Amino acid sequence: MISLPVFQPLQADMVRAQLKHSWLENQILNKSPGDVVDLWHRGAWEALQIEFPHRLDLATGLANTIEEGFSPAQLVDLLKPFAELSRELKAEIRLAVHRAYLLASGIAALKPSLSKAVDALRAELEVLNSVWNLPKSVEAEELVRRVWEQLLERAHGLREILEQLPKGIWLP
Amino acid sequence: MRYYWFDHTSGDAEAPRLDGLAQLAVRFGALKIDGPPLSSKLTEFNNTVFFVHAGGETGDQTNWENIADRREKRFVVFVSSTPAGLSSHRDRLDVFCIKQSLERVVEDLTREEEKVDQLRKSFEEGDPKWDLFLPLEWPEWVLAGYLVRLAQEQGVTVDDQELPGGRSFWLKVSEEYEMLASRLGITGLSKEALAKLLAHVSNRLAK
Repeated sequence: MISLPVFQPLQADMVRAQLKHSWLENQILNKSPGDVVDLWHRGAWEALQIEFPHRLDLATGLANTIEEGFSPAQLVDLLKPFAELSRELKAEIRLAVHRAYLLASGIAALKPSLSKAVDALRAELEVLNSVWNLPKSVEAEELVRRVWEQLLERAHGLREILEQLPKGIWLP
Repeated sequence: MRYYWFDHTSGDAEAPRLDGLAQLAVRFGALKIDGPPLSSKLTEFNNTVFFVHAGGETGDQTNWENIADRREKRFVVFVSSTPAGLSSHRDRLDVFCIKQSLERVVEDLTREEEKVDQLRKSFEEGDPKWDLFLPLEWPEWVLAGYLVRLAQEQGVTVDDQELPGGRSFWLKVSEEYEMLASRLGITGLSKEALAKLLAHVSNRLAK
C-alpha cells in the first residue's frame, strides 16, 4: 500500500489528527490523576462537559465512515484529468478502485476495534461526569483519581488505534 | 564551483533571452559563456556547471554533452522553451535536462532557497541531486493513469476513446511520468511502474 499525503484536505485525516493530537494527547493524556484531582477541587471543567462529548461524536463518525474516509476512490472526483470522464465510467472506476482498496488495506477490520475503543472511553467519561459533582471528601477524591486512571488507559487504547489509521489516502 | 550560462538566442546580449534562464543564472551567480569550451581547454573548466539553452551553430546539444564529465565535475544542465522536447539522458549523471517549465522551476527555487544551497553542495561533491530541480507537484496524470490501470485490473473495460483526450490521455500520463521518472530507472506505464513513481513522490512530499 502506498500512503499518499493528499493535495487537498482530507476530512477523515483531519478528524483523525485532531482526535489523536488536539484531544487525546493535549487534553487527556497530558493530565495525571493528580492534575485532574486539582481540577476537581477547583470546580467545573468546561472541556469535560462540552468539548469531550463533541470529540466522542467525531470519533464515532470517523469509525462509521472509516472505509470511505481514506479510500482512493475519492480521487476520481478530485483529479483534473478525470473532470470530463462520463458519469458512468467514473462510477465504474470509483467502485473498482474502492473494492481494490478494501481488499488490500484491511481497513474494514479496524472498524470494530475503533468503535469499541470509542465506546469504552465514552463509558469512562460518563463515570467521571457522574462522580464530578460529588461533595468534596477524601473518598470522592480517591474515586476521581481511580476513574481518571481507568480513563487514561482507555484513551491510550483509542490513541493506539488512531495511530494505525492512514495519514492520507492509501493507494493499493 | 563556477557557474556559466549559454543561450544560443542571446547573441551579444549580456543577459539570456530564454525566459527563466536569467533568473536561474542569478540564483547560481552564473556568468555568460559564448559556447562550449574547446577540448584543449577543458581542464580549465573542471568544477563547473553550465546552464545551456542549446541550439544554433555554436550551441549544438552534442557539443555540450561531450564536455560533461562527472569525474572532473563538469556538469551540463539543458533548458529549453519546449522542455518536453528535451531528451532524458537516463544513463548520464553529468547531464540533466530540465523538462518542466523553467519559470516554474525558478519560482520553486526562489521559494525554497535551501534547494539552491543543496544543489551547490551536491555539485561540489560531484554527485548532483538533480531531483532538486523538480518542483514538487502532484502528478495528477500519473495518478489518474494509475487508477485506470487499477480499475482495469479489477475487470473494468476502459477503452482509450472513453478517456479524456482519447489516446492523448496516455501521452499526457507518459509526459508527466517521464519528467519525474527520468532519474529513477523506472520504465513503462504498467501499474507497478506508476506505483513506484507515486511512492517516490509520496516520500518526497512527506519530508
